[in-house]
This record gives sequence, C-alpha cells and structure tokens, in this order.
Amino acid sequence: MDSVLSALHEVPGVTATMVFDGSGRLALHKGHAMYDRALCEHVCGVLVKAIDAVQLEQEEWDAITAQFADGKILLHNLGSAHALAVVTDAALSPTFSTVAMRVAVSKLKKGIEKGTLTGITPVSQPGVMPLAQPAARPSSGPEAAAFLTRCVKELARYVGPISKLYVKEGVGRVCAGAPFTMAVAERLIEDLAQQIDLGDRGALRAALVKGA
Amino acid sequence: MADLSLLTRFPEIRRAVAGDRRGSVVDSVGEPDAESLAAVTGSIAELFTQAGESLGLGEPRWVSVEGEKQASIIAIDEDGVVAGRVDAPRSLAGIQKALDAALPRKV
Repeated sequence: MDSVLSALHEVPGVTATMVFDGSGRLALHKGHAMYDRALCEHVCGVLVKAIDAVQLEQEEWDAITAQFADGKILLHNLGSAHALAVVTDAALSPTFSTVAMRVAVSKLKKGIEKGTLTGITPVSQPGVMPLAQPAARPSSGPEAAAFLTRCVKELARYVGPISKLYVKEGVGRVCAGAPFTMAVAERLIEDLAQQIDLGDRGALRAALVKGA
Repeated sequence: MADLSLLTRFPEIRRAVAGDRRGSVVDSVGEPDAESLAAVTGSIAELFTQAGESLGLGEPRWVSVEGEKQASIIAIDEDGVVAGRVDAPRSLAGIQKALDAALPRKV
C-alpha cells in the first residue's frame, strides 16, 4: 500500500502523506526528508484533535482542506477510524491533486476494508477512537446527561464557551469510547480539574462533587 | 478581521459567526448557537495554526469542511475567525477561490 502514497507524491506540490487512526497513531507515512516520522506523529496528534473539534459541529465529513500562506493540508475521511493527510506546498495543481486524491482514497479505503494495509490498526482495538464518530459517546441516562451539562456550565466559569469541547474530550479520555455513566463521574471531575489553573481546581471540584 | 461580511457576502452562507481567536463571539447572523460555534472554530483555528507551524506552512488562511449533505468554511487571521455554514456543499470550491483572492488583501 506504500505505492498508493508514492503515487500521490508524483503530483507536483505534494510534500508529505500520512495515514493515521483516531488516536493519532501513524499507520503509513511518506515525505520529504524534513517530514520525519517523529514530526508526522506529532502533527497527526494535532490533526486528530482538530478533526474531533470539527465533528462537534459537523459530525459527518468527507474532506477537510486547510489553506495556509505557503501550502495546504488536505484531510480525507477513509472510514473505519482512519484518515489520510496530504501536505502540499503552494505549487500544488488542484486539477491533478483532485484526481490523484480520489484514486488514493478509494484504494486506501479498500485496503482498510480488506485489512491489507501494512501498519493499520484494527478499528476494534481498545483506545482507538473512531474518526467517523465524535470523541465522546453520549451519556447513559438522564442523571449522567444532567451531570455533563453541569460540568460544561461550571467549567465555563474558568475557560469560557470552549468548556463544551473540554468536557467532550474529558469524557472521551475517561470512558475510552464507552457511554458516560455516573460511575466514572469522579474521574471526569479530576480530569476536568487538570484543565484549569491550580488555584481554581478546588472550587471546580467542590461545585461538581455536589452533583456526582 | 472578525468581519462577518467576509463570508455573508456569499448567498450560500446565511448562518455565520465571527469570533476572536480565544473562541468568544464578536458578531453572528442566523446561527442559533453562536457561542458554541465560535468556541469550536477558535479551537480549530488554533489547532491548524499549530499543525501549520510544525509543517512550515505559515499562517492559516481558511479551513473548509465538506460532507455529503453539509459544508462549512472558516476564515482565519491573527486577530479573529469567521465561520459560516454553506447551504449548498457544491458551491464550496467557488467560495474557497474567492477567499484566496480576498484574504491576502485583508490579512
């Protein structure tokens, strides 16, 4: 399957290609010398967070394009908890890249479905978050849902409206993909407390423990 | 920036939010949950800024999200973020081109 990424590199302007899973684990990558594995792994971690954030507002996505001053990042949803990232410089030809990308995405999807992609982690592996779904699963029961709403409200006192995202990510961390239940409420409180200043943590814990 | 008209001048965008880079709402039109959208787009802008810096791509200009039934676009500069929902996903390419032309002059 390395040949799929190699074909993409024949398009003028393509400088790096990466296939990664929902936990940011790099499954395949190819790139110019400066884009080594360590750098690509770091970038995949950031891109997974960006995809999670996108899915808070638009759960269903096929492609994300980020235009920069000196190039682009093209992200394609491969399904089965994987995404393709293509990094380009300003010389990229949109016509060539659209066709090449379609071909690559189709081949990679088939490869993932058949399990023939070297280095691809099975979707069912614990800890791997599906990219096609939000980072956190829905809560289980009205009590849990009410508690999460309170978490968003209380945390917003310290971080503002972004608290919704923090809570969603926190639930993803403590539940590892399972629905949120009150059994893990204390762990979530502690996780959220770590997101704010040391001096504010006690007040947040106290406010949330009341309802846990 | 944080100028709504950057996106609302397109007829396909009837819901939009302008915010600062920290995710607070500056202005909005037609968006029922402007606070959430501003918070999320502020976070998306920050994350793509990080990715762009790591990859040597410079500052982000815009980010588009394309799905089968819906699409959205976020215009970014160092001061603010404007996010708009695109009613017709097929019109996204035209909006991207127009932003490419408009943003270098705005930034």
